[in-house]
Amino acid sequence: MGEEGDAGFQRDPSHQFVQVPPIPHRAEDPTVASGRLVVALVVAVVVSIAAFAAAVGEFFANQYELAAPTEATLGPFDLLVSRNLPPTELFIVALLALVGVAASAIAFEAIAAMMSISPRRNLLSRYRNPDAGMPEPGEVRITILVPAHNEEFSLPVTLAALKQQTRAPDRVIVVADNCTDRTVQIAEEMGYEAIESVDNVHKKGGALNQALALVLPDCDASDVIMIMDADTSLSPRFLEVGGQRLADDPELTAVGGVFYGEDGQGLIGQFQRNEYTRYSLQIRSRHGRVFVLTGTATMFRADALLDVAAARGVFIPGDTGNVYDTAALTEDNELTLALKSLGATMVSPIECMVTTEIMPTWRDLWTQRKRWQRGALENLSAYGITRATIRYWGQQVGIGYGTVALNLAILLMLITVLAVDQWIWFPFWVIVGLIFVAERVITVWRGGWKARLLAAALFPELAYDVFLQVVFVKCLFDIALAKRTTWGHVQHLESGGSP
Amino acid sequence: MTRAAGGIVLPESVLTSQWFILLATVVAFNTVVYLGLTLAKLIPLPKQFHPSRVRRWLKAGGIEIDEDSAMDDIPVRMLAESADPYENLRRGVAKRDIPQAFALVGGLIILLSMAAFITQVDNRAYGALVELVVGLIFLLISQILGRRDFRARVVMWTWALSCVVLVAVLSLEAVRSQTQTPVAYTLIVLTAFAPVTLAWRPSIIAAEIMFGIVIIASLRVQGNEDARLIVTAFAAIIVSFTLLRLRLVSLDALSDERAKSEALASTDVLTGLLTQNGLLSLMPGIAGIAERVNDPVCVMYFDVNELKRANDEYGVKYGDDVLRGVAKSIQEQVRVGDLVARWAGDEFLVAGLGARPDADALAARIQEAVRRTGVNLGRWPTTLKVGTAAGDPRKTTFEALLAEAQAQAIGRAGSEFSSIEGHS
Repeated sequence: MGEEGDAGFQRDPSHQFVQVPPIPHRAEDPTVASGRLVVALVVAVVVSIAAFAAAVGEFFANQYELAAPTEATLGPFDLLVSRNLPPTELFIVALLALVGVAASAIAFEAIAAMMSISPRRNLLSRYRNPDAGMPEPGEVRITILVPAHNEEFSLPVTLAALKQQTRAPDRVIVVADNCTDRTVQIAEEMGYEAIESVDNVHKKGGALNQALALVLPDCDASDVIMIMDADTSLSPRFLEVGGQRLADDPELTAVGGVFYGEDGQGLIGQFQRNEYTRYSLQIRSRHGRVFVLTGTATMFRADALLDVAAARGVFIPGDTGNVYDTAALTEDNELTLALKSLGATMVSPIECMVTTEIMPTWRDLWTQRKRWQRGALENLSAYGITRATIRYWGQQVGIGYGTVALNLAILLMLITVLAVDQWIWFPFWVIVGLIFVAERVITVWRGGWKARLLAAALFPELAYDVFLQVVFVKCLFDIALAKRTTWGHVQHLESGGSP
Repeated sequence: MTRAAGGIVLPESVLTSQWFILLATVVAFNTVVYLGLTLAKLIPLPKQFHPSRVRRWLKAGGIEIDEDSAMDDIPVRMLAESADPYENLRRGVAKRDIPQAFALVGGLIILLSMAAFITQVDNRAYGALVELVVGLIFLLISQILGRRDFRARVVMWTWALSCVVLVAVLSLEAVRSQTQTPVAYTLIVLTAFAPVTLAWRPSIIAAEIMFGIVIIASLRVQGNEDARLIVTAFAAIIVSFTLLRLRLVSLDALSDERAKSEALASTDVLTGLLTQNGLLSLMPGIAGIAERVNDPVCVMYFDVNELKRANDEYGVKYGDDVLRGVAKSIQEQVRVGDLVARWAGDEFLVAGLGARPDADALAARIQEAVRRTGVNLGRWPTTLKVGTAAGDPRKTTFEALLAEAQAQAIGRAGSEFSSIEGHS
C-alpha cells in the first residue's frame, strides 16, 4: 500500500499495544432486579387506574337505567336505536376527566421537557478543558461514519446518494465491521476512506467505538460526526439543514433524522409506514423534540460524544472511553439517554428525512420490535428514574396502559357480540367510535390514499397494535423471568487468546 | 350486522351481570383517557426552550445553579462516605426497598379492595373505598420516596409511621363494621413490615404498637371465620417472601455495584487524575493516533519518595495533600494533551505522544513545581523518582514501556528490562 492516507490505519492484527482491562459485563450484573421494577411499576399504575375507574363506575352504577330502544329505518336496514345517553352527572364527570387527562398529559410533557433541559450543559466539557467556554456559533465540519457489515450491494447506492446532498460532507468514512465481501474495496474505489474493525464482537456499537476512538481525538469544537446506516437514504437537504442548525446554535448537541418507511412489502409494509407516519407527525407537532435519535442517521457534536465517552462508568452506565455502550441491545436509544442524562439538547427537523428499511415478514418484524422494546426497557432500568428519563418511563407506562385498555375494549366487544340477542345501536357510542376512526385516518393523511384506507378500516390496524402489544408483554415477561436468550452476541473474546 | 344473531354462545344475562358492568365501566374510563390524550394532541406545544433562556430565567428567579452538584439527578449511589460501611449499606437498603415495599403493599390493598367491590359479600363499599384511597396513598408515597433522595432515617420513619397508621385505620374499620376482614389485612402490613425494617430500632417500637392495636381490635370484633382470612394470610406470606428476596437482591446489587464502580472508576477521587483503569482504557486511542502520525508513544513514571514516612509522621491528611500537590505539579509540567494518571498509591504515570523526555530534567522541574505549591510547608521535602520510556506502538507494548520506565526510576535499568523491547 502507499505511504500516505489510509495506509496509517493498516496494522498487524495480532499485535496489541495495550490490553484494556476487562470490565464487568452488564448481563452479569443485577440490573435484572430493576427490570422487575419496571414490571411492578407498570402493574401498579395499571391497577390503580383500573381501580379508580371501578370506583367511579361503582359510584354511578345505580343511576344507569336502560330505556327501551326504538325502531328506526335507514334505507334498506331496520335498526334498533337506543337514544340512551349516559346520565348527565356521569357525562359531566367524564368531560371533566377528559379535560383533566388532557391537561395532565400536557403538564407532564411540559414538566418533563423543562426537567430534561439541564442548565448545566457544559459541565463535562469544562472538566476536560477548564478554559473552554461556550463555543461560538460558526461553521461546522461534517464527518460521516457509515457502519457497514457486508453491505456491498447497498453501499454504492448510499454513497452515491450522498453526492446529491445540497451540502457536501467534509469527510466520509466507511466502518467495515467483520466484512467478508467487497465492502472495503467498494468504499475505496469510490474514493472514500475505510476503517476495518479489529476483533470486534460487539456488532455495530463495537465497530463504531473503534472508529470513533480513531476519529474523535483529532476533533475540535466545530466538528460534527454523523452516523448513518449503509442502507439508509437521506433527503437531499439533510446535511444542509442539520449542519445549519448546529452552526447556528452552539448549544444544540445532536440533530436526528425523522424516519419514514420505504415503499413496498404490501400490507405489512403499509402497517409500518402508517406507524412511522404517525410518529413523524408527533415529532412535527412537538417542534422536532424527539424521543430517540435514530440510529439510521443522526449528527452529533464531536464534543458531546467525547463527553459521553468520558462520563461512561462514572455518571452513566457503560465502559469508560466508549461512546456506545456495547451491552445495550439498542445503541441509538441508549446513546440518546446518555446524551440526555448529560443535559444535551437535540432536535429532529422535519427537513431531515431518512427512509428506512421495512421488515418484510412478520417474523422479522417480531424480532426487530422485540429488540427495540427490550432494549428500551433495559436501558431505562439501567438509567433508573431520573430527570432525563422520566419522559421515557412515562412512555413505557403509557404502552402498558394502552395494552390493557385496548385489550379490555376488544374483550368487551367480543363478549357483547357473543352474548347479544339483538344488536342495538347507541348513537352516542357510534360518535365516539367515529372520533376514534377520524383520529386514526387524519394522523396518517400524509401517507397517501393507501394509508388512509388502511386506517379507515380500523380493525387491521387494531390487530397490528395488538401484535406490537404482544411484543411488549413478551418483553416484560422475558425481563421478569430474566431470560437472556435474545442476546445475539458472544460474551467476550476470551476464546481468542489461547495460551 | 344490524341484527347479529347473538345469545347463542353466551347467555344474555352476562350483559347485566356485575362484572360485565365493571368491565364496561373500565373501558368507558379508558375511552375518556384516550379522548383526553387525543385532545391533548390538538393543543400545540410551544417551541423548544433554549437552555440559555432557561438559565436566564433561573437567574432572574433567584435560583442558584450549583454547578458542582450538577449530576445529582443521575443515580450515583453510595457516593456519601460513612465511617461504618455496614451502616452505609443498611441505609442504602432502606432507601432502595422501602419504596418498593410501599408500592407492593399499596398494590395489594388496592387489589383486595377491588375484590371486595366485585364480590360485595359484606356490605362494606365505604370501607373498601377507604382502603382504595389508602392503597393509592401508599403508591404515591412509594413514588415520592423512590424518586427523591431522602435521608435513610426519614425513609425508615415514614415506613414505620405509615404502617402504624394503616394498622390503626384497618383495626378501626374492623371494629366499626364488626368484620374480621380488615384485621386480616393488617397481617399483610405486619409481614411486609417485618423483613424490611427488622434491623432498626424504630421498627421494633412500631411493631409493638401495631401488635397492640391488632390485639385490641380483634378482641372487640366477634365474627365468624372467613375464607378470605386464609387468602389474606397466604398473600401476606407471599409478600414477606417477596420482600425478603428483594432485600437480598438489593444487598447483592449494592455490593456488586460497589465492586463494579471501583473497577470502572476512571477518575481518582483524591487527585482528580485518571485512575489506572481510566488511563488504560484511553491508551488504544493514543496508540492509534501515534500510529497514524508516525510518532512514538512515551511513558513517564513518577514515584513519590518515602510517602509512608510522611503519612506516619504528619498524618494521612498531610500525605493526601502531598499527593494532591504532586498531581497538580505533574499536570502543570507535562504537555497539554498528555494523559496523567495516579497509577497506584504513590505512583503516577503520564502517557503521550513524542520522543522520550529526559528523566532528570523532568524530575527537577516537577520537584521545583511541588516546592512552589507550598504543600510540604518545609516540613518534609518532597522528592520524586522519575523514569521515562518511549516506543513505537506497532512494535512494543504498553507493559514493556511501563516496565522500562519503572526500571529507570528505581535506578537499575538492567539488561532484563531493557531487552523487553522487541517482544510482542
